[in-house]
Amino acid sequence: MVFRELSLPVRLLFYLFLAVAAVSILYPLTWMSYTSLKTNEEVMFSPFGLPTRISFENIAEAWQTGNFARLYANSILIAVVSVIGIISISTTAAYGLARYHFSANRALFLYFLVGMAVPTQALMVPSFKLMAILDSWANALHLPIPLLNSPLPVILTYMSWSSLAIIFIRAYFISIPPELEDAARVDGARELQILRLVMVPLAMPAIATMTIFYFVFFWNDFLWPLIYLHKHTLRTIPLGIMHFEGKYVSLWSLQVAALSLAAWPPILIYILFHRRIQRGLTEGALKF
Amino acid sequence: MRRPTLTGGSEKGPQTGRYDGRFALFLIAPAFFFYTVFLILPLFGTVVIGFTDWTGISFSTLRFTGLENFIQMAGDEFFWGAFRNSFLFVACCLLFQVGVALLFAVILESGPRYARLFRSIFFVPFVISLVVIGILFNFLLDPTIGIVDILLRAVGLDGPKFGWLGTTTLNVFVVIAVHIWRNFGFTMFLLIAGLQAIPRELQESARLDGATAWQLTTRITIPLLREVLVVASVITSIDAMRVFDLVYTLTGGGPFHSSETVVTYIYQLGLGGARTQHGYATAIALVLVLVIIGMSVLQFTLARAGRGAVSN
Repeated sequence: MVFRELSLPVRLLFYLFLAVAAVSILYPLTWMSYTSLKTNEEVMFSPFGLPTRISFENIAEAWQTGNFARLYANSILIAVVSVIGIISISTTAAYGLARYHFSANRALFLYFLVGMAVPTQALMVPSFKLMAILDSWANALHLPIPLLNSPLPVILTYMSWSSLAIIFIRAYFISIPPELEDAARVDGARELQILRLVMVPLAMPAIATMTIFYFVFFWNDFLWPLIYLHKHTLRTIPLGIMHFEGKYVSLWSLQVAALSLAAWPPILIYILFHRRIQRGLTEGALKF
Repeated sequence: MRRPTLTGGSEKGPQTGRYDGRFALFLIAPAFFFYTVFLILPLFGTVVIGFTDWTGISFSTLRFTGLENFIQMAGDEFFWGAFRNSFLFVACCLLFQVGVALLFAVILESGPRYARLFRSIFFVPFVISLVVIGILFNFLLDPTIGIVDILLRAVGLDGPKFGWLGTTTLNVFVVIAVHIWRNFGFTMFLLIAGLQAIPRELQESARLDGATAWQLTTRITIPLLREVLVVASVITSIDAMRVFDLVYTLTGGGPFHSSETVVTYIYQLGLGGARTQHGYATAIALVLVLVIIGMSVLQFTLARAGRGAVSN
């Protein structure tokens, strides 16, 4: 189908569909953005009008009272540590599965494949119990490993979701011609050097795709922080926003400002890197 | 370089490489450890705890109760309500999320003006946290200050008395609509990737033979898109089956459990409520695992059957 060969009414109808959908997405986000730049009085008197003068008082107050510096620090810590962890362990595992002949290779691959079919939310109760049990053991042995009331249980949970990354990166490794490694080996490179200096750079497209995929996933995740991060100093952004809303029910200008503070940084990053992010999330999912 | 596929185009494993098994195990060990301890062990735990009434963490209180949890489920109207809502979610998303995504994917790939811009706009909600979206829609749908009701009143209509999210028959559909609003752009991108993989020549030759746009789309494009459509449908339905964040932030499963979905009910029973029922919640989780595995097997089987029918 070629758009410009369609009849005029059909083209207009299609443009109407596109415009309605675009407005339905842009309007809520725009409303959120300009409302958080209004003064409290203006929000009360004209909830939907544009601001007559731009005020950052609500943004500043929400940043303060919502402790956003802390929320961002916590979210960044959890997402960055989990992503670096899962990408490292998955890349090495993918390489081992892609390039080494040993009797358990196929069985291990199938074992990791199981994780693709498991809905992780269904594991919440046993996971929570497991962490509690491990925590009590750690306490009994006087080990300084806080498995409750720290970001650790969330990070450990995230790092168990390696199936997709392993399968994705393994497939990419297999598609790389083995001559490149053989050449490096003839030049005297050791096995880990080959992985680090030859294979990882070559597999960068796949590794970057997985990095984006997992980062967006961990950044926006709500359930696991909700399960493990009870102390308010540990909260991530989604969790902090949730509690903020409960605390300032009547001050909705402040709540909208808090939403903007949570939504704008990801939107800006998306605007800057939209192609890479779109590709990363789509390719990751299509590797089902 | 070959386009990577699920198994790298080789079901047999590595075609080349070395035989140092110990070194390979050393490479795989870290991932194996985290995966086994924090995913497989809880999965195994789900199967075991689902048959107990275990509430603590001490193994001495672990007591098997046979099928008791599953018998309780059969008589639990909230369990059936949660499953009904989740299946409603799946059905509506398959119909509308995939439907709208397909419509927009086909329109945008035919080359209207600003196609790239529209594509990128439709994807925006997918990068925003569901909690932010849930709370934002709480404002937009509020019966007194929400834009939706204000617009309705402006044309002389009234929104539901207790708000869109406070009406027990309507609230599920409102949550579903917000879910679709957030996700259709992503589904559209999956389908666009599929459309771009279709060779141009097929459409060109059919077009030269005088096929109309409608015929081109329904007879050539969509049949060739079938595999990607199946993948997109599986992803969409699994996503819909395990919805949690939006329900939690929009309605909290209420009023009176009317918008509860399976995962919010598991959370409510197992970790969220005052009196936790770990065993019962886990038994429901076990049913959820089986349902989700069953759904993806069913969709892939149907797709394979469909492919067979077409090629014959």
